[in-house]
Amino acid sequence: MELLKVQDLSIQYMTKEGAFLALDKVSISIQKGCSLGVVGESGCGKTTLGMGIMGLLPENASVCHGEILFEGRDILKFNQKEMRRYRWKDVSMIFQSAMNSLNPVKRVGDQIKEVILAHEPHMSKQELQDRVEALFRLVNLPVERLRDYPHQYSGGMRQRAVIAMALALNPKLVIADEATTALDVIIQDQILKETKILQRDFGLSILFISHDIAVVFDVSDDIAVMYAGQVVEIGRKHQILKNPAHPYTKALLSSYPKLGLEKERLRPIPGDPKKSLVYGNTCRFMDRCPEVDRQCKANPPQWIELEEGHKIFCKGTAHAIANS
Amino acid sequence: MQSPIVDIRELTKTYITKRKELLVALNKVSLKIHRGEIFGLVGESGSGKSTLGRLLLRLEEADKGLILFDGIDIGSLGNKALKGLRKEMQIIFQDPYQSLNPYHSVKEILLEPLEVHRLGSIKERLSIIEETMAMVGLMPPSMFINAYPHQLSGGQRQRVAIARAMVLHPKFLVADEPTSMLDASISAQIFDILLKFKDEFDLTILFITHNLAAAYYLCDRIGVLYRGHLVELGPSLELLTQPYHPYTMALLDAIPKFGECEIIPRFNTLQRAEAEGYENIGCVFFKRCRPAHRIRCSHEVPQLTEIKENHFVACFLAEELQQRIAATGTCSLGI
Repeated sequence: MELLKVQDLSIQYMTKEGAFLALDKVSISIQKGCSLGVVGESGCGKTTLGMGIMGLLPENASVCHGEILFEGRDILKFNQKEMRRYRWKDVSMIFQSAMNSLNPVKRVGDQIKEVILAHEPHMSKQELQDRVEALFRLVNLPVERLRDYPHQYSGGMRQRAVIAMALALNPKLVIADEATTALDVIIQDQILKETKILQRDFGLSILFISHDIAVVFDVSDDIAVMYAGQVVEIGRKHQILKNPAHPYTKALLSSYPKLGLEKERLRPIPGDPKKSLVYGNTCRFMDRCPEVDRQCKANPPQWIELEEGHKIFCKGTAHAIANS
Repeated sequence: MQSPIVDIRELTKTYITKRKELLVALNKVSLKIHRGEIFGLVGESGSGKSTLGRLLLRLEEADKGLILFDGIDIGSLGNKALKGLRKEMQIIFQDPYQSLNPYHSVKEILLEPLEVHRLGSIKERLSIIEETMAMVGLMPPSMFINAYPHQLSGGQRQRVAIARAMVLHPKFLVADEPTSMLDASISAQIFDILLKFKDEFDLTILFITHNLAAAYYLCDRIGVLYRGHLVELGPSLELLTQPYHPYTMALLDAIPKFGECEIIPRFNTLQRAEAEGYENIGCVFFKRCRPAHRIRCSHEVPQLTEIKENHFVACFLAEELQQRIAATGTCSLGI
């Protein structure tokens, strides 16, 4: 069953220099109990996508096109009361910086209780305590530490507390935006493993946003690759691993060192990600693309389906053949 | 064999924390960095890796031990001699947003080191910085020279930081997590620049990172630090395909990987929770080590010993563990 379906979503920011289209007709969907990884470099619009789904866009941002369907209902049409219910109870979010999402002058346990009470005001004290303890056990935090303040926690513990808070109301979808980026590898590995367990045991759906393709591949069933506000390749994880077809995806994959018998030189993508207020109709990756040709300059890119569910947004020639 | 450019002997550094506890940041670390190599120092936050970099440039003073740079004991130098030495050794930091003065243009940032060390005429200085800018890929220089840091992307800022370090043509560069805030495609560009300086100018680099995969790609040799102790040291390819220390194995397990990963074995050497109820006066990794020997490892401190040519490890179980596992195959590593 489709839990979330984002259809042709465009979001723009009003900036001093003018309107900036951060998302341009992005379509993604997440099945119940599945995870979608969104990967792309900074500035590609992946965080805007997360904030849009969460209904937490800043004031200078507006949705100019498209719809966000959660269980078939368009959240963009929600009134304030519906939105309040939807946010945290249906969908919750784990932010990049755990320290900034915890209140430094309140005990961690109390902060989680607050979230629960805001939505379930009639819960008894004992029930509340049990619930918070269960959440702590779920994310492998010692229950004795409920009474501590955030600064008494290590970075990994704080991130776990934030995850516990995101799970407090049993949401159906969790959006994790660079949730492990600031952590050491060993802690990152533990948290990623726990995330997978939550997905498996509780049927949780996860939208995992990261710039790190290795992390995204680790936790996700499906992958969407974004570049300059657009999705350029989308598919099942194994499809993209086996047959990466968009030149940007291929370039991204070859930016990671391979562990093997001999060291291979990396092939970095030349130039910097494009950021501009106005884009034409032509491909946005063109200037950095190793496979650019005359056709790219003349025609806008189009969606090409390579296999069922595996699509790229590129020039019309048979990319799949070139790759196989 | 040539004398090493950096020779560190039993370097120890302790801090007193706010709670008046003694924190050992580095414990008797000895290592040599050879001329023209990139040496990777890998460890988690708090392992002491940045402290080592700072001690090397004498941005801080060591408690005990010796640092020889080109044969000179840098701890004994006075201010004037130290200034001359600093021309030879430079550093780039993790965060290019914080290490560049936001009120200075690229030109001012790059001119400053030349002015401080009184190198060249005003005209020569301009040509030196333009040359260096071209080398780090800030091309054409005229496009960037009058820009301010906020007008540049993260990758471009880090290039400016590298250029600032390189205008003096130092012999030795400490790169402290220079790519951990950058996207993978941009990190790869920065790695390329560092490799170019190594190849063309024989620059020696100490690359400090929490990321074993990045170190593997960039470095000739890698040293692994755990809580201030050097636990393993060896050629980078060998260290990743044939690690001897259980902590190195744990790091390798934890790197996110994609591709044909089934053939990379999981070592499973990490104890989830720290072992409780043991008095530990032995190995620093004992409480997190799953294969540890209860009595020996908790009572004796293993010394760094050469287990294979140029490959050192501080572990009693190294030989035994090595027989159990051998890594083969290829897969991509997250950086």
